[in-house]
Amino acid sequence: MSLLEVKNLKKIYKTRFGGQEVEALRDVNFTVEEGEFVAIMGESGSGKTTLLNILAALDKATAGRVILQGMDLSGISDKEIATFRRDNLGFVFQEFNLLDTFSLEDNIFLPLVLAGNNYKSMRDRLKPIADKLGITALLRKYPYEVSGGQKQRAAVARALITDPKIILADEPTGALDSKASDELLKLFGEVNALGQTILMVTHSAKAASCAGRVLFIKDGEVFHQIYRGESTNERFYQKITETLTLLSQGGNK
Amino acid sequence: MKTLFYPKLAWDGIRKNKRMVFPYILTCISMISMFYILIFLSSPGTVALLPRGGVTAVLIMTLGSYVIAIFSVIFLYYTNSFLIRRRASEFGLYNVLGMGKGNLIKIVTLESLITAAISIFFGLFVGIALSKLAELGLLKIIGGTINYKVRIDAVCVKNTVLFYLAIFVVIWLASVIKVGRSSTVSLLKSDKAGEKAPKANWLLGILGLGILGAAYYMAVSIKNPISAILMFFFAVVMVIIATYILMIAGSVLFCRILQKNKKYYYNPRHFVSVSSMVYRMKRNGAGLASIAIIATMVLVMISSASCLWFGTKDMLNKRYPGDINLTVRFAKSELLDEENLDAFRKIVEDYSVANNSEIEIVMDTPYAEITGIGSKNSVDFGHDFRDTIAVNKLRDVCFIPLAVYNRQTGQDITLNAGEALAFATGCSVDYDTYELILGDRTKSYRLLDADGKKFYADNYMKDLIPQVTLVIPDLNATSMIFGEEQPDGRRLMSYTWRYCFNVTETSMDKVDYANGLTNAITGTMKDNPANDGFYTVYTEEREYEGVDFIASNGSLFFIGIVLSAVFILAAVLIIYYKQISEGYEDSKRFEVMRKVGMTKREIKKSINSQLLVVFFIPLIFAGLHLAFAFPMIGKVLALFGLFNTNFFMITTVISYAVFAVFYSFVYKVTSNVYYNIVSEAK
Repeated sequence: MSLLEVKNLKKIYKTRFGGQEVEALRDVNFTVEEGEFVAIMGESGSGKTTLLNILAALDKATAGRVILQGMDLSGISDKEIATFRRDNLGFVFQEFNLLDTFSLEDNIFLPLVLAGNNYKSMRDRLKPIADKLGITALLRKYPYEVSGGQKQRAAVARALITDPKIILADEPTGALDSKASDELLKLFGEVNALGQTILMVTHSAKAASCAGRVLFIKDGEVFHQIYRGESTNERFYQKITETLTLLSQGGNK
Repeated sequence: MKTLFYPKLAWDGIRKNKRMVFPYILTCISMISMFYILIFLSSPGTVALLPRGGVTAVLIMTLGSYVIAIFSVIFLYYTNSFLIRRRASEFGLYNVLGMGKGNLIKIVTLESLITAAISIFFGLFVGIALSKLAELGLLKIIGGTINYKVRIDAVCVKNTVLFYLAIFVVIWLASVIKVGRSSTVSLLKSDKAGEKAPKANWLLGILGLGILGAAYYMAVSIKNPISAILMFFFAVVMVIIATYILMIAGSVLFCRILQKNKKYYYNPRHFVSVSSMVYRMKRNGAGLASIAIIATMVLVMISSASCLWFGTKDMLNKRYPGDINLTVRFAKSELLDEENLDAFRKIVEDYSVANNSEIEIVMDTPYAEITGIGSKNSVDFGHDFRDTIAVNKLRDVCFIPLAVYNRQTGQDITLNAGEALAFATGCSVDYDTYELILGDRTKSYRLLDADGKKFYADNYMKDLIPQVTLVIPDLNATSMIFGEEQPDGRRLMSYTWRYCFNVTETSMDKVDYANGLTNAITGTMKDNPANDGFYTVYTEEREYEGVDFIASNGSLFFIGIVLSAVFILAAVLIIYYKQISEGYEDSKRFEVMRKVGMTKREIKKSINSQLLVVFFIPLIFAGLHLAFAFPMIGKVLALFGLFNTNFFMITTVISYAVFAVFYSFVYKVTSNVYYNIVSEAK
C-alpha cells in the first residue's frame, strides 16, 4: 500500500461574490511510496500550492480524496485536524515561518510542546537532529540573529522532530542563495536516505533534480512524471529541463 | 482635475486608515469641546450666573482648562506620531511609485489640514452644544440662577480655535519632519524592523521594585499632610517612575524568570503566551504604564472629588448645627459659668421676641480649650509649642462639663471628682489615667470607658491637631490651675461658648437676623462691666457660610468628572491603538502557529490569556497605587474639612468598581477589534 494516495483531486475556487469559478485543480492523481523523495513542478498558477495546501489539510478539496497511510483526510473533523497535522506531517516553508519571539530551540520544540511533551524528552529528541543539521551551536539564538540557510535548517529540524510520516516542503530553497540551497538540498537527500518520505513543491529544476521522481503539473492536472532511475543529478537535471521546455511549448504527452 | 489629485489622495489616505484616524479625530473633537466648555464656564458670561462663591468655581474651571490644554498637547502629539509611524509603509509605496518628498509632504499637509478642520469644526460644534448642559450641571451643583438661553461666547471660540490651531501646526511640523527625513527603504520597512529579543534586566527590575516599595512606604508613613506635602509629591513621582520601570523592564524580567522554569514554560498553556509576552511587554510596557497612571489619577480624582462633594452637606451640618450659630469667646474662666451665660441667652431670647421669630436651640455648649505637647497619656502645656513643626505631637485638649455632655447626648452619666470621660481623634486615649502638666502643677484624671463613641466639643473636628475631649464633672476646678495668666502675659486656655439654633419662623433674611443679633449682644453688653472688653462674639449663618464650601467642593466635583472623562478617553484610545497595532503584528505570527499545528481554539485561548494579562495589569497597578495613596488622600481631604474615612473608603471602592466595569467593557470591545484583525489577515 502506498503511503500517500491522491485520487481525482479537484479544487474550485469561487470569487467572493460567487460570480466566477476558478479551477485550480482539475483531476490530480498520484501516489507516493514510503521513503520516496518526490518533487512537484509547475509554473506559477499551475496549482502546486493549492495541491500542497490540500495535502497539508490547510485547505479542503472540492472533490476527490487524499489518503495518508489508509486514512482519508476529508474524514478528519476540524477539531482533530490540527492534531493530525502535528502528528503526521512536517512542514518546511519558503519563508521559513519561524516565530521571531522564540529562540531556534523553542521554535523547533513548538510542535512537541503543543503535543504536551516534557522538556527532557524534547531535548533528547532534538540532540541527534540538531547535530545532523549542524545547528547545535545556534539553538539559543533568535531567528533574526542567524542567516537564511540557518533559519531553514531550523525549520527542517522543526519538521523532523515530530518524526512525521511525510515532510511537505513548499519552495524550500525559494528564499535562499545558491550555496545555502545546495546545502539544504543535500540535507534533504541525506534525510531521505535515512528513510524519511519527502514531498517537495518547487519550480527550481535544480532543486527538483535532487528528488527521486518529479511530477509535472499543468493546468490543474499531473501532466507528466519522470524517474531519476540510475541517472546522476546532472543527468536528471537535464531531463527535467527538457521536460519543462516541452511543457512550456504546450506539447502533448 | 489635476488640482484635485492631492486632496483626493489625502482624503483617501484618511478614509482607508479610518480604523486609526477616526478615533484620533474623535479624541481631538472631545478635547476641543471639553476645552471650550471649561473656558466657557470660566468666562464672564457664566460668572454672572454664579452665586457668591463663583470666584472659586471660576478659578477651578480655569485650572481645569489648563490641565486639558497641557494634556492635549502631549496626548495628541503622541497619538499622531503613532499614526505617522504606522502609515510609513504607505508613504514608502508612494515614494517608490515616483512621488518625491515634496509630494509626500503635500499629502501629509493636506491630511493634517483636513483632520484639523474636521476636529476644530466638530469640536466647537459639540462644545457649544454641550456648554449649555455643562452650565446647567454646574449651576445645579453649586446653585445659581438657571436660565435656558443658549449662549455662544465669541472670545472662547476664538481662544479655542487659536490654541488648537497651534497644536495642529506643531503636530503637522512633526509629521513633515518625520516624512521628510526618512529614506524610501526605511519608509517601506519601518514597521517591519527586526526586533531584538528583550534582555532581562535584573538591575532595573530590582530598582523598580525598590523605588515602588520606598514610595509606598513614604506615602503610608506620612502623618501630617501639610508638612509632608512635598514628600507626598516625591512619592507620586517615584510611583510614576517605578510603574514605568516595572512595566517595561520588570515584566520582561518576570517572563524571563518564568522561561527559566522549564516545567512551567514548556507547557502548551504557557509556551506561546510567555514568550510572546516578553515582546508585547517590551513594546507596550510604556503604554500600559501610562494607562495604569491615568487610571490611578482618574480614580484618585473621582473618588476624592465625589467624597468631598457628597460629604459637603454633612460637613456643613456638623460645622453649623443651627441656622444661626453664635460663638462667644471669653477671656476669663469665670465668665463661662451658667449665670453669665444666662445673660447672653436672655439677649438671644429678647432679640427673638422683638423680631417676632421662633427659635429652637440645637446646641448649647460651653467648653475650655488648651493646647500642649502630648506623650502617651500625658499632655504638657508648659512648652512654647508655637514653633513646633511636629503637628502630630500636639494635643488639643477640650474640657466639657458633664452636665453639658449629658444634655447634648441625652445620657445620664455621673462622674466622681477626679474622673473623666475621654474622647480622642487622631491619637489614643486608651489609658487608665490621663495627666495634665503645667510646670510643677499637675492634674490627673481617672478615665472611664467611653465605649468607643465619638464626641466633639464643637460637634466637628476643627483641625488636624489630634484632639482629646475630656468630659469632667466641673469646669472651674481645672481651669483654676491652667487658666491663669502666665508670667509672660499669655493665657494658655480659651473659653468658648457655642450657642446654635434654628430659626423656625421669621420674616427676616437670616443673614440680617444673624448680624442683628451680634449688634444686639454688643449693644447690651456695653452696660455689663463684668463682660465688657472680656469677650468676642460672632454669628454665622449656615447658608451664607456654606456657599463657599458648596461652590468650591461642587466645582471640584464637576471638574473631577470632566477631567476624568478626558483622561479615560485618552486611556481608551491608548488601549485601542495598542490592540490594533498588536493585531497587525500578531496576525502573521498566529498564521505560522496554525501552520505548524496549533488549533484555532488553542490560538484563541493563547490570545485571550495574553490580552487578559496585558489588560488587567494596569487595573491591578492602579488598585495598588490607590490603596497606598488612600491614607494620604484621606488626610488631604481632612484639610478640606472632611474627616469621615469610612465615607471616603466607600466612594473609593465604588469608584474603583465602576472604573473596573467600564474598563472591562472597553477590553471586550477592543479585543473584538483585535480578533477581527487577526482573523481577517489570513
